[in-house]
Amino acid sequence: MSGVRRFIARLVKGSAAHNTLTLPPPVPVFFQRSPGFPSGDVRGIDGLDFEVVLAGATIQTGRTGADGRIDVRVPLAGSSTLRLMVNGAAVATYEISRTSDALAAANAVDGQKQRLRLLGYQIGHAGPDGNGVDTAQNVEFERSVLDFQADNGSFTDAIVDATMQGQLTTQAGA
Amino acid sequence: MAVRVKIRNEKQIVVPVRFTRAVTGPTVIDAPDVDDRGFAPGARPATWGSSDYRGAMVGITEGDTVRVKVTREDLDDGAPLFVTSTNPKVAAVAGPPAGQPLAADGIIRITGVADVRNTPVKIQVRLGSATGPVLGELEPHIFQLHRLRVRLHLVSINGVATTRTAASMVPVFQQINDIWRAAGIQFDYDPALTRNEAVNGLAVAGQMTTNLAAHSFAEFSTIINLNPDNNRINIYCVRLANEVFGLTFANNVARPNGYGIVIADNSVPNSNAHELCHYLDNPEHAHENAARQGVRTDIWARRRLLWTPNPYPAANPAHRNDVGYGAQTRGALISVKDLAGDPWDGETNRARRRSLNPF
Repeated sequence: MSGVRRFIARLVKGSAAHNTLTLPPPVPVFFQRSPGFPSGDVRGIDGLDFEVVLAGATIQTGRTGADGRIDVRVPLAGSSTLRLMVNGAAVATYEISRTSDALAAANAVDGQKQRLRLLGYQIGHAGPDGNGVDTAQNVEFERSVLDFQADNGSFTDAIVDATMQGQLTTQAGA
Repeated sequence: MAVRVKIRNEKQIVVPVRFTRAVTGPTVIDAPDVDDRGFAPGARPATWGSSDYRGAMVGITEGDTVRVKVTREDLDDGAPLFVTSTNPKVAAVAGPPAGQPLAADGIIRITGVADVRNTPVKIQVRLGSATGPVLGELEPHIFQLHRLRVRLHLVSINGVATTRTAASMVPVFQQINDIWRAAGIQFDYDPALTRNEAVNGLAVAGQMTTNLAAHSFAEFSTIINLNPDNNRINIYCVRLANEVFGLTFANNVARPNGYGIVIADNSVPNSNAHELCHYLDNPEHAHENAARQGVRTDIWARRRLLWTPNPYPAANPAHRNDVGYGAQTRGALISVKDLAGDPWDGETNRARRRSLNPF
């Protein structure tokens, strides 16, 4: 559940008319105990209190349900701040940015990392965006490939073959 | 410091924490390797019951307290974390103290209280308080200790004897038992029972000679049939072996080919523990596929006790040169999980089953 605060600005003092600021559309962010979209199991982190801050103003507050979902309003090519709250104080912060850029090819390392990251696999924080996505075949990437293979019942050999590329595309997008 | 998340394709999953081994370097008895291979639970032996946990597993001998590390993969360092057990009568949280947050080093201490059938337990990491949201889960398996008797044989081949002595093997078995502690198995070595054996007529003095590619292991069979003790695991020490640091068949291979272990003087305790894993019904290696082809070279395979060789040559990519146990050194993980994609997984369960009837 999330509450979206309304932003209203009057045109002039005493005017009955007003402008309504348009908030960016929401994007689902799922907090989970394990990666990948659920398939009949429960992975979401239930009961996380949160707030979303955009341009210095708190625009959303709420608490996650069983699916751990937060619909974060993030401007395209911009960013919002998502804060996890405990007793009204922020204890963890996420700088959420959003891009309309297409995913890189699934046969390229950066495309594989983008998909693994999207699915919640822990690929570290290297790379230009600080989210682990780059072209380096590092230990975090290998571990996440192995995690993905294990979670999908595949032979774990850290080789991203055509089968795994297809699974990544199916689960995270083309 | 904020975690940076860049959303592509209009959706994103965040998994905040992970469980890992509490130390790096050689095996430490109270810091078992954590079977963090994947988050899916895999197959479970019938006596483990069902669980909805999603995360890592770790083995703990009943009565032991072990250390495991929580890593904040996608979570601020300062976020207050609390650790709880879903069933303290099976596995209890010994640290941090109840009501206290996890320290900055991320180390939690878990006591294996009781080995209870069909009673799975979860160690849960929670945000903000002991009743806060569950960020991550670890499933410990508590094992009643199985103690297996060992008989050591010091072998002289064509007049050239092993350099090992009964006394020198005491610390070796301590290290072997450190590795096996997480599986709830202990090898009881009594140096006073050590036997001296002599064999002549082998190809090279002091050496066990084999040609494994040609399935030629006659000298191995000769050695393991020297005065065996039918009520103990028989381990034969030789000066040298031309192809291996040690050799074992699974314990379902009868004499004259099975029921014994040969170790060379240049084998380290990790290698001896490896041979004992073979003995306890785990004949295949961690790098092998279902067709027993050595195809795996990844970091997980190298972390397992049944990886071979040890030490291993320089790897490519270079990050495979240290999987947490030192440079080009195999790990000591005896797999707890039984992953669907791994034909030889579930080593702990198989070893424990055999340890009920080991001789």
